[in-house]
Amino acid sequence: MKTLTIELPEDLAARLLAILPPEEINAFAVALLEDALDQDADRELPEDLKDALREGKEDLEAGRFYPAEEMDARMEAFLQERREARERENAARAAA
Amino acid sequence: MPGTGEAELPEPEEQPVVYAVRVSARAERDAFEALAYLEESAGPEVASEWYRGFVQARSSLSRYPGRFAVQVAESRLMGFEVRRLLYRRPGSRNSAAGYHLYYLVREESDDGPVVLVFHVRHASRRPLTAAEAPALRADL
Repeated sequence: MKTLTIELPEDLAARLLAILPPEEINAFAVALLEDALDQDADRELPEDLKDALREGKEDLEAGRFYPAEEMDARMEAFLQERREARERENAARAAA
Repeated sequence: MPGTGEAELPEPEEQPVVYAVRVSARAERDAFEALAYLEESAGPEVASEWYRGFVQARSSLSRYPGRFAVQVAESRLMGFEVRRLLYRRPGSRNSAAGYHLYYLVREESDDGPVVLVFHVRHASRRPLTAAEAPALRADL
């Protein structure tokens, strides 16, 4: 990681600090810089991204979106299952 | 921002609009692939850390989702304004190690203002460059 310091006009800094908690500002700045440096509006998109965009459009038109918390619960359960499986594996290994 | 459409940094408001964040099955499948890969390759602690950061990043879209730039090429193809958030696992050293969350913002829906996440993608998945293509062809 490299730390850079930038100077912002007072009003821009005030607006930034008013809408984002300090811990989110770094990630926000990195994302914007990455976009600014990498973007080419005329670039050819990879085929798998095109597929994802088409699928997203179909999901939007069909209204196939659900609360993100449902996904969180399934991911949490997956991690818990994997933790328990690893514990069982370790216990079996220790007993052998 | 060159060629990227608008990244909107709004005037601060007394009461910011809160957007519901919703996902598609595709986005969940993408996120699960990333989580399962990390759990398998780097272990449960790293996977759990990634998961916590992922949830936090995604949840941050409930406020000011327009702060990330419109992706011009993607929006042109999809016919809607597509934005993306770059999420990096805490401690990751380069942006290519991150994940992009592709999303749309709808100011009005049956649920009120909503953010729709439809794709989660590793940031290093990109087209081959002119320099890389000949090397790949030589391997074929």
